[in-house]
Amino acid sequence: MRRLESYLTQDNLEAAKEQVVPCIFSENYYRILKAKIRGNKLTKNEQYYYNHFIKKKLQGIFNLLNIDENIKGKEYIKKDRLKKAISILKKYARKHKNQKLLISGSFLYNEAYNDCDVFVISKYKKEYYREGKIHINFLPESVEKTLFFQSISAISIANFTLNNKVEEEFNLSDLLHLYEVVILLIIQKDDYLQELRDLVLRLEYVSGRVILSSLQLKIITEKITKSKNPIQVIGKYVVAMIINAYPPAIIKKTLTNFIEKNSLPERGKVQKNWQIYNQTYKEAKEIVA
Amino acid sequence: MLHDEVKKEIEAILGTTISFDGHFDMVFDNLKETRQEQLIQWIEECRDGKQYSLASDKEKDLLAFILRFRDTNFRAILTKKKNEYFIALFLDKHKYYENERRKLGI
Repeated sequence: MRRLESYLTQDNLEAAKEQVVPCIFSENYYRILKAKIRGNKLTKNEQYYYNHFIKKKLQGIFNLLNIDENIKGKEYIKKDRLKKAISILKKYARKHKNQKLLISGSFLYNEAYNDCDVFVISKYKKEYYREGKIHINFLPESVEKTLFFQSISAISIANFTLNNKVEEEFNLSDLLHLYEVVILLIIQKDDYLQELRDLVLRLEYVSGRVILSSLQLKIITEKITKSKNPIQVIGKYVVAMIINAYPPAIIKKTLTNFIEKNSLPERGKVQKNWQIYNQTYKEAKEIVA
Repeated sequence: MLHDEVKKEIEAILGTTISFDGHFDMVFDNLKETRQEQLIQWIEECRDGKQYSLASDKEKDLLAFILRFRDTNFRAILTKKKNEYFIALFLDKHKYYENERRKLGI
């Protein structure tokens, strides 16, 4: 069973006190529930009351109201999709018993969609499978603390409590490498959307600790890909983001290394992409100088 | 074409110093014929200096060419010592390619 208290916050408990006490909970039960939500350690007695009376009442209320999902970004989810998604979630939760499931992606918020992504967090490595338009993707448990997962879960329906922690660090070199790959793919006329999405997501995070939802990410990347000069737009965007993300000394040192590595191409060869990279790096360096 | 045949063909193009990394055999056997041909053509273009490369910040004079196959999450990375020989052809899924890029400093 999922943690019932995960559906409650201190604020809404406080706000509902008048309606809750004493009709549903006694003053003492209310106090214990509040302590539990705050994360305080309960005494043995309190723990007993919580497990045998308070939790059961909560379960009853949730069953009565048919509350069974954690919904994030509800305002962006289309009403008809919400119902469909809940029924899909229930169906696959029966199939993947005691597993954490999450539905996310354009199925929830776009008029047109190609498929419905269901993510199953699993201890074991399993192969992705599809049933019609439903794609079942298996993710390892460690994924919950990644920026990628926080992004896809920003508009989602899940059968578990979503934690909002990102335990990933992105250093400047990693971001510049990714920037270089994106530009290279554009020059090669390859599909670069996935790499661009990763780049934008990480840049927004390192710059302002902003976790973009998949919808926000889609809007930004569409603006870039549909612009007249994506290479230039991405370059300016990278500069604007990195100058706020790291201490000036680190920025200068890293940019100097990157400019240097991109300065001496192979004999008789012009590396158009290296010229673009170094122009971006020089602009950023001038700003932080 | 099967992976054993293509390895010989690639060695003929890039030289016998080339090694094969990632889940090369499995990924190559799973590529459509047109994608297999695309890989060979791209390798020839890398040899002929028609493709742009990335420079590593971890290893001096290490260059890497990247190929992204459309409609699949397979990627190829071809590494080369600047002005000298080709080192390895890596072929794998996107997540392994990310790790490989980090390892190579590209």
